[in-house]
Amino acid sequence: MRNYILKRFLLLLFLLVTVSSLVFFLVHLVPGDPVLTILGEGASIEDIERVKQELNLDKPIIQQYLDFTKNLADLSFGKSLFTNRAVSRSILIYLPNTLYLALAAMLLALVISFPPGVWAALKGDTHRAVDASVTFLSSVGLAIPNFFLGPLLIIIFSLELGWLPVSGSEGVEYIILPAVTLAASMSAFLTRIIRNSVSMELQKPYVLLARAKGLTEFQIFRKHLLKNAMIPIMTVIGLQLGALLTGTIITETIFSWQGIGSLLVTSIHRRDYPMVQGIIVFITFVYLILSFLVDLSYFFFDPRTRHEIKNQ
Amino acid sequence: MKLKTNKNIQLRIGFFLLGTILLLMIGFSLSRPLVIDIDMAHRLEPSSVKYLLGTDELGRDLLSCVLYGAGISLGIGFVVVVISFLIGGLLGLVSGYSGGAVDTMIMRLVDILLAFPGILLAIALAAFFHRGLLNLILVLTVTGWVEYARLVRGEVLKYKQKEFILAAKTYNASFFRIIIHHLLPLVLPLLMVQASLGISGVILAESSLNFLGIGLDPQIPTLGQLIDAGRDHMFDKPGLIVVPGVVLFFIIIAFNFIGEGLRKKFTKKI
Repeated sequence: MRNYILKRFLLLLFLLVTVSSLVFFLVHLVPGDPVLTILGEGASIEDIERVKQELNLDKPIIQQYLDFTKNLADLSFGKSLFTNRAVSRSILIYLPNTLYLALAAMLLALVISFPPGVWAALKGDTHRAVDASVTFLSSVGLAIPNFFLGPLLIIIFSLELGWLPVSGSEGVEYIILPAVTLAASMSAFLTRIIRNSVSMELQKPYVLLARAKGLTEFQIFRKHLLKNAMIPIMTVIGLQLGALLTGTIITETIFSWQGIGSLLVTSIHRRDYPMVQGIIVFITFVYLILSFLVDLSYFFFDPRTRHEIKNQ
Repeated sequence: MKLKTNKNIQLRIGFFLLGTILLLMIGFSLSRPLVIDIDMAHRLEPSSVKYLLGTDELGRDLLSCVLYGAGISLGIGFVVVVISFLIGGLLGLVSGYSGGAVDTMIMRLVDILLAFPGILLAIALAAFFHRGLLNLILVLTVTGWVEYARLVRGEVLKYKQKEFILAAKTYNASFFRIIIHHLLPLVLPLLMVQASLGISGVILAESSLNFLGIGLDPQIPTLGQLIDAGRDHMFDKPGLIVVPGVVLFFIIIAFNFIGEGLRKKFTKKI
């Protein structure tokens, strides 16, 4: 087991290094001069020199790379071209809003997806219509792009009904529409995972045994089935938390929600490259560390994994 | 109520939806000229005989724009999926069958590309590349082939030690003969499922990038761009968002149904 954790940890380190290097080299992969891309054709020579210096593009590439890694190591993530402050400071200012939105969406998605997922799995055999309608609804949820759903919700609930504010991030009522937008496709996806996981477990012999013992369906579900069915569900939830950070990029843009997602989009349009690189590296690091923790969590939730790894 | 289980309903709905979309697209495109030129004199006009769905903020005929955008989405989706299918399929076959250092190298590359959550890698690449059709296709392909490679490799590992591969080796079949003639037919159904589900993923990513303004030139009408621009007129002209949004929704759901249907069909056989 220790070997497995060590191996997994080395993979994490490898990915952290390569992913950040990849993001560093993106600027240099761009065909043409990145400075001209930032300033547009016809920029004055002084401006070109200034931006070159700010981006450190006047130094040899090895030196640039070392500076980039140094900035990652001291957690400043470089300096924004626009505000001239450390990228990490901006990230820290905007991050709480993003986390708030992501967690609200996750909670909402869990509340929305559990009942129909479990219901479809338990009743699926006898009531095909239940299963079919849950599957149908989740297909619809998966097919609505969030950048369409968001404006649609604004049109219905803010403009037509006037119940909720259009955009902003000041109070509790502001989070409802963005959270629903962000949660929609995730709850559709989770419903499927929950339905499949529970119905797979239902076919296992221990359920038959529990029935033979005379337990009620509810007891079987609560005491035996749920724990086993939760294992794949937990994995998905862990990975989705990371993916949510990406989902917030579009949702925050729609609702002018002041988080790192909308900050990323604004920085892309301002051509604030250090900021763009910093946010992308940051989100990816969070995602990688989360998936590493998800992998380790197997050992706690499922004792069988410990034996499997030991026997290999 | 009992639904018949032997018929593949999802596949039928998927093909029906896709067929309807294509027929409507072809019908409208043939019956009236596509005008997507900017015409500031006719901004935000209501529906009329000349502009069936009215015009957008730039005075472009909304119907033409939506048809054009849907065409772009389908075209890009198709091209990206075909390239990803070929690259990912081949690398997956090579990686799974040859094993060793080649396998490790390809799989580490896959790990690196999968390290970025969701469409973050596509956004990162698009943010640094110039706008343009070729670059957009490149961005979506770089991020798109990975899933195929991983799936195919997993399947190949299952068959690698089987007798028929040993038999092929004994009569001195070449490396490429084994992966193309013996392994490819086995992984093809899985690849087909992934491709049809993949098209909707690519179209979603493409329109997301266009929505964010980092895909094609915003002067070119795409479904993502139309929805983005329509946000300025949610109050006075919600149709500018609803029409392209609904079209995009039906395109995505059609391919999702086809993919799910194919998956059911093939997993039943295997």
